Amino acid sequence: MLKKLLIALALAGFATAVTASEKPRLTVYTYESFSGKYGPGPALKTAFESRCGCELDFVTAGDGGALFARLKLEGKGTKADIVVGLDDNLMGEAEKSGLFAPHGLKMDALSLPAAWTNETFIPFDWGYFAFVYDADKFKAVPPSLKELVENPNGPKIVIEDPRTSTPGLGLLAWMKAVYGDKAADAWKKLEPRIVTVTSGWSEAYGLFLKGEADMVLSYSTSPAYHIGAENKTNYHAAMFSEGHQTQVEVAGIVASSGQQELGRQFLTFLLSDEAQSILPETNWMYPARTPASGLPASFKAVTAPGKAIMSDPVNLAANRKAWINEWLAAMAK
Amino acid sequence: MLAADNMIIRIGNWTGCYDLNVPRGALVALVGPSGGGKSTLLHAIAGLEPVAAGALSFNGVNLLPLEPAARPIAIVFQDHNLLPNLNAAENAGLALSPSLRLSAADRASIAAMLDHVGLEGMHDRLPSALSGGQRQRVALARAMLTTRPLLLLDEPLTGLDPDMRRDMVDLIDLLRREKGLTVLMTTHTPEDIEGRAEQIVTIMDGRAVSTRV
Amino acid sequence: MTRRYSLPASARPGLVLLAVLAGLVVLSLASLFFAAADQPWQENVGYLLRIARFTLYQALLSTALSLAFGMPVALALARRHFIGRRVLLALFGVATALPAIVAVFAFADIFGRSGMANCLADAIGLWNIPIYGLGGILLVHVFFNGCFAARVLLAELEAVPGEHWRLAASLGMKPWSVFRLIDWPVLRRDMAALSLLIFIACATSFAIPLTLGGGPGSATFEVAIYQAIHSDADFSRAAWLALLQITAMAAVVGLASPLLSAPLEAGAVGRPIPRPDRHVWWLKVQDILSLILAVLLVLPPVLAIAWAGRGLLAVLDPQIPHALITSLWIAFLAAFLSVAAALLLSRSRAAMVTGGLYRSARLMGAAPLVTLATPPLAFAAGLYVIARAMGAADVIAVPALVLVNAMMALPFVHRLIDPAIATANARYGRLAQSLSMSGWARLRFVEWPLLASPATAAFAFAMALSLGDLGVVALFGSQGLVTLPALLYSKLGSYRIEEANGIAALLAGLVLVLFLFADAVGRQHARRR
Repeated sequence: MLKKLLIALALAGFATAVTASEKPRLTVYTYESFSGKYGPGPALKTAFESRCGCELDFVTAGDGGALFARLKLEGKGTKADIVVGLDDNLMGEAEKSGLFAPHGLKMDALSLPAAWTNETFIPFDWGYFAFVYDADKFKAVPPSLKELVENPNGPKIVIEDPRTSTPGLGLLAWMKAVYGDKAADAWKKLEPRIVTVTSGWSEAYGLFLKGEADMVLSYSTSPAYHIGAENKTNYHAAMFSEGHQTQVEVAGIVASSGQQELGRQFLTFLLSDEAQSILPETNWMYPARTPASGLPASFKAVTAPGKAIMSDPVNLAANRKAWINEWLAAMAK
Repeated sequence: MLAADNMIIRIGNWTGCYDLNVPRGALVALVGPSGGGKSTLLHAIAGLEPVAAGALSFNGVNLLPLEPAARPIAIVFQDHNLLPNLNAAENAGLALSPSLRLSAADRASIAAMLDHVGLEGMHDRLPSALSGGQRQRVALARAMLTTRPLLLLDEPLTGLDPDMRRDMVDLIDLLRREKGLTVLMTTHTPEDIEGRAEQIVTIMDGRAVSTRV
Repeated sequence: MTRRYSLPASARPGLVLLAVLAGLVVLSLASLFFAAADQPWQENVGYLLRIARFTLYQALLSTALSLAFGMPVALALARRHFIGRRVLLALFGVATALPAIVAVFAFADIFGRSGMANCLADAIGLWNIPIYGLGGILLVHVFFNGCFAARVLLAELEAVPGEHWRLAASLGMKPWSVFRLIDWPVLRRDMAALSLLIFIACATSFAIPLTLGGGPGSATFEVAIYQAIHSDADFSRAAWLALLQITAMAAVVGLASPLLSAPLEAGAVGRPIPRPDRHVWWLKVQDILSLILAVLLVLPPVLAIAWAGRGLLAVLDPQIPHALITSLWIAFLAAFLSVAAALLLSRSRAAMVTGGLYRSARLMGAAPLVTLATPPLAFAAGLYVIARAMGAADVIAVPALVLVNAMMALPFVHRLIDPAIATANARYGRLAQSLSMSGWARLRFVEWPLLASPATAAFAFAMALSLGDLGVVALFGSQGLVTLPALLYSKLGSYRIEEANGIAALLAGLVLVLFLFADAVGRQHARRR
C-alpha cells in the first residue's frame, strides 16, 4: 500500500513536471459545476488558451462558499491567480480580506440592472432569484411576494437555508427588502407552507422536481435550462410585482498572483462577446454584457422580472448575522 | 440397550452409516481418528443431527421420532458446555429447569451433585473462573441431574493431565454404577478406560469398524 | 488474587496509533484556529444551546429506534435462513453507506409528499405520512444505523458456540429462556458500544436533519460548524465548535464507559447450528413481521435509486469510468488504513484486558468514537493548513481524502472486528504470548480464522463509506481529482438531475456488489476452519 501511495505521488509529480512548459500558466479557482463537463469552464478554457498562448488550469471547490473558505485558508500563499464564482453576497467579506487586487478595467456597456461600481471584482453573469413551478401541476401562481407570504392557501414551497446556501441568503435579503422591519412576521406567516429547508440548492431543486413542493426557490433562468437542454416548456418562474432579488457572480484577480497582466487579460476576456455567449447555456444565468448575437432562444422564451432588487454587499455583511437570528427566531415552531 | 441399525447420516458430501449395539448399563468407548464421525454419532443419538435412514432405539423405544428434549439422553460436549454468564450452580440447574425456576429442593440437589463431582465451594463461580476440568465436571453434574439413563460424553478427557483423566474416569464409572447409566464416551486415549469399558468401538469414516471387548 | 497492572508489549502499537490520531485531531483544530486568529470571537450562546439540545434529542431517539429495529431483525435473521437472506444482508450494508443526498432523494421518492407511499395511502384513504419533520429524520437514521446494528448483532448471535444451541435443544429450553440465557447476554454486551456509535453518528449527522427536518430548528451542531467554515469562513469559530463537539461526545463516552463490557466467551467457527427456537409459531410470526419491516425499510429506497438511475446507460459519461477508478482506489486505501488501525486498537484493548487494566480497556474500546465526533470538514481544513505550512499543499488532496475517509470509517470498522479480536485473544492470547507470536504471525494464525468474516465485512463497509462520501473533495478538489460523489454533486449543480440519479444508482449497485463479495469471502474463510 505504501508503494502504491509512493507511485501515485511520483506520478502526480511527473504529471506536473510534464505539463510545466514554457507557456505562462493561469490558475483559476472556481466552483465545481463551473469547470465541470456541462459548465462554461471547458469552452472558456479552449477559447482563452487560443488567444493568450498560455495554459489555463481550473482548481475547483464545492461552491462559492467553499471557494472563499479555501481562499481564506490559503491566505497570501495561495496559488490562485483568478477567482471566478464568488457572488455579490460574499463580495464584501472578500474585499475586506485584502486578498484581491483592483481590476482596473472600465465597467461600461454592461447589461446589469444597475451600474457596476466595484473596483475589485468584475461581474460575469447574474440572475434573479425566483420561485419556479411546474405549470402542468400548479396553476394558482401568486403575482407577488406578499401574496405568496400572506395567502394561507398558497403554494407549498421548498427553500434553502440562509446559513448554508446563497439562494437562502438571497431570499432573506429579498424578504427584508420587501417587508423591512416586518420581515419576522412575514416569515411566521410563510412558515406553515414551507415543506422543508434544505442545506443547498441541489437538494431543494431535486426535491421540487420529484414533486415534493409546488414551488422552489431557484433562479428565473432555471426554466431556460429545461427549455434549452430538455425541450420541456412546463417549468416557469413566478414574476413578483415587488421585484426580484438579484445575484451577481463575480471574478477577481488575486493580489499575490504573479500573473497580474495575464489575469487582467482573462477578466477582459470574460466580458468579451465570445465568453459571454458561452456563459448563458452553460451556467444558465444572464450574461453580464449581452453579446452582439443576443441571448439564446431558450433565454428569450423565459420571462424576465420587471424590477431588480440589487444586493447591497456592505449592508448585507453588517446585518447578515442579525437577519439570520431573526429568521431563526421567526421559524422556531 | 442402545441399538443403532444401519443408521445413515448425511452432512453435505459426507455419509455415515452406523451399526451399534450397546448393552444396558455398559460403558462403551468410541475411538478413532479425528473427523471420523464419533461426535456425529453422539449428536445423532441425542437428536441433534437429522438421521436420513435406518433405525435407532433405546430399550425398545424408537428414538428417531422424538425431539432431543424428549429422548432419555443427557449429552456433554467437548467444549462450550456452560453458558458463560451463569455460575456453576445455575449451569447445573438448567437440567432441573431450563428456565432456572428452581425450588429449594432443587437447589439442594444441585449443591449435593456439585459436591459429589468434587466442586465443593465452587458453586458460585462463573465458568471463566473455573479450569477446563472443573467446567467438565459442572457439565457432568448437569448431565447427572437430568436423571436420564443414557449418558453421551464427547471427549470428556481432553485437556486434562493424566491424574485428572484418571479421576474423571473414576468419577464417570462411579456415577454409572450408582445410577445404572449406560455411558457412551468418545476419547482419544482409550488406555484410560482400559479395563473399565465393556466395549471399545472404533469409528472410522462414519462406520463402526471394529468392536473390542 | 493480586491484580496485575502490566501493559503487555502488544498493546503499545495501538496506543501509539491512538496518540497519533488524537494528536492529528488536536493539531488540525489548533492550526485551523490560528489560521484566522484575528477574528473576534462572538457567538450566540442561546442558539448554540438550542441546536445542541435538538442534536442530542434526535440522536437519542434515533439510537433507541435503531436498536429497537436492529435487535428483532438480527434475531429473525439468526433464526431463519431463506432465499435472498444474503442479498438482504448486503442491502443492509448498502443502506449504511449511501451518501446522504442520495438517501434523501430516495426517501422523498418513496415516503415524500408525492411519493409512492402517499399515493398508496391516498388510494386506500389513509392519511399522508409526514416525512419532513422529526419522523423523517428518525426514519432515515434508522435506515442508516438500524441496518448496521442488525448486521453487528447478527454477527454476534452467529458467533455463539453451536454447543449452546445443542444444549438448549437437548434440555428442551423454552424460547423465552433461550433468549434470556443465551441471546440476551450476547446482545447486551455489544449494546452499549453499539449505542454509543449510533448516538454519535446521529449527533454528528448534517444533511439529513437539515433537509428532512422541515425547518431550521432541526439543525444539528454540525450545521453550525459547516456554517462557520463554509458560509462565514470563520475558522477560529469552527475550531472552537469542533472542539466543543468532540469534548461533549467524549464526555458522553466517558459517562457511558462503565457500561462497556469485555466479551465473555470465545466464539465459534464452523457450520452454523440450527437454533432450537425456530419452530415456535409465535416466534415465526414475530420474525416474519420483523423481516417484512426490514425489507420495507431497505428495499424500496434502493429500488427507487435503481429506477431513477435507469437512464445511466443512455447517458454514458466518459467522466464516469475515471471517477469510478479514482473513487475505488481511494476507497481501497482508506479501507485498508481503517482496518489496520482498528486491528491495532483492538489488540491494545485485548492486551489491556489480559493485563487486568479493565478501565483502560473499556476506554480503549470507545476511543475510536473520537474520530466520529470530529467534524470532517473542520478536520480536513486543519489538515490543509498543516500541509500548506509544510509546503505539501499540492499533493495533500488525495492523502487527506484517504485519511479523513479512514478515520470516518474507523469506529464502524472497529465495532465490527473488535469482538473477534477480543475472542481470539481470550482463546489464544496466552498461547500466542508464550510463543512470542506478534504482528503478522499473530494475525495470520491466531486472529484470522475468527477475524475473516468480520474483517471482510468491515473492509467492504469502509470502502462503501468512502465511495459515498463527498468529504474533503468539496473543499479541496482539483480538476484531476474527480470522485463519484463529487461528480454526482457537480451534475446536480448543473441541473443534470437525471445523470446525477444515474451515478447514484451506480454507487448503490457498486456498494451492493462490494458487500455480496465481501460477505462471500468472509463465509468462505470462516468455513475453511
